[in-house]
Amino acid sequence: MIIKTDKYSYQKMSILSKIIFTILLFITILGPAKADDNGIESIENESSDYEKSMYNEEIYDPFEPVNRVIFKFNNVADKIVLEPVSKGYRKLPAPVQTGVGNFFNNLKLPLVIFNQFLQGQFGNAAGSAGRLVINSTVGLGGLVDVAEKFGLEQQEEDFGQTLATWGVGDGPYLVLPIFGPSNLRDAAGLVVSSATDPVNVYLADQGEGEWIVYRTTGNAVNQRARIIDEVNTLRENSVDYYSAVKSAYHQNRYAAIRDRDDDQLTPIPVISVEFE
Amino acid sequence: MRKVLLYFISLFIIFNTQYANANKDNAKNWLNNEIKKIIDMYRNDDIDTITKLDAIESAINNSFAGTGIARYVAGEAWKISSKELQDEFVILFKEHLYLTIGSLMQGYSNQEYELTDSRNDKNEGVYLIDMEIRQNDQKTMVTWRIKESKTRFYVIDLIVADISLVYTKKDEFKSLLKKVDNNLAELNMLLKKQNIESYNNLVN
Repeated sequence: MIIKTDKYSYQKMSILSKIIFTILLFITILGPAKADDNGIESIENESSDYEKSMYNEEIYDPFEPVNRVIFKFNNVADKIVLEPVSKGYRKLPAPVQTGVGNFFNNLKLPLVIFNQFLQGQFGNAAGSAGRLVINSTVGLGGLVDVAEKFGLEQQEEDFGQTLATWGVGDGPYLVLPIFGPSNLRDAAGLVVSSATDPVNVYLADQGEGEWIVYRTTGNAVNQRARIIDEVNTLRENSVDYYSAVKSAYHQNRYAAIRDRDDDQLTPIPVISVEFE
Repeated sequence: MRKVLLYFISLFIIFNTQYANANKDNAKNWLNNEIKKIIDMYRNDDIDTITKLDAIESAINNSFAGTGIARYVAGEAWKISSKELQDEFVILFKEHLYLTIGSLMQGYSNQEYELTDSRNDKNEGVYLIDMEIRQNDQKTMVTWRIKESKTRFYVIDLIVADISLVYTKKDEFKSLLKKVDNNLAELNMLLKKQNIESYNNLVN
């Protein structure tokens, strides 16, 4: 793959780099990570009859009123557009959905490999590279997940996770229009991921920028179709849907940053069974 | 003398390991039976939604540490509330829990499940049982956290795709309790309303 650089794209990258640098600087100042900073902390409680540990540290959400407005907008957009499209997509034959899912996962791999390198996960990066080669060739351009049969499973890494590994804290919780729950670090990571994704860079360079939008939309529909029931359950049964999504996002990112390999789940809530 | 001592220490270690493994397996078997009961019911198309929901309610009441979770979720508000309000909250919270699980089960469409691993967190006295749910190419990992009390097992938390049910509920209720100044009476009113809405969504 030859990536051409002309004066125009250099200028674009230069402006982008400045924006990214500013955001990163902002994050570094705002949210330095603490040891074991996952928002979950064990403390001794005086009334030990029922509760010795508490999920005591709240997710930092200084923009809650604004976030709630954007969340409402996203929720309506989801109900009107994304959910119906995802439901339609789910009616496609299962092998088609599997193929589409595999294809999008394969496209993610160059970015995953890049971030695994940045995080010093060289073994995982080699595994992902092997996966990319096998699925792109034997797997018919990524449609068939052949690599999984060789024990090379899909791994997810993005620039938000890389920043977290480098010690950048979450920063304030944000709800992004259309993109949904995030935080300052992950939002900056999203910008950097989009700008440095080798597939996106290649498409932009070839003057096929609209395919980036198609790819992002297709990926969103594919992901959304996988969690239709879970989202509906959360939406219909939560006493505060906004807080439920915020908590779920926080826990999910925490697990992604720590990596599932660590076999570390959220701390066990100390719940007494003496009262049942 | 030293040999005798070593012999008894070895016996003690072996006995304890075997006891822990046996309990871990018992917890896994117990959970498997509880899940099977519900799944069998959901696989039967002749059984109506209300009967299925009743079965889930009964399973939740018997298998989940509903009171303990309710106390945990209510946090500070629990301590400053009267016994009557606490009892009312526990009943409403258990209802809320079974309606949440019932809603999740509505999406059930013959997915295969398998209990893949069980282990013992000795520090916390909790059994962790991993379950894999498979549908087509999609795999979802679920971890059940189980505690034993007086020869009975209770589910104290459920982690679906890295998201803990109890922590999510804790965050939700914390936010709501903040709005009502930790007033459990007001929370009970809101929860009652929410439960009626959830029930109607499920049966209609």
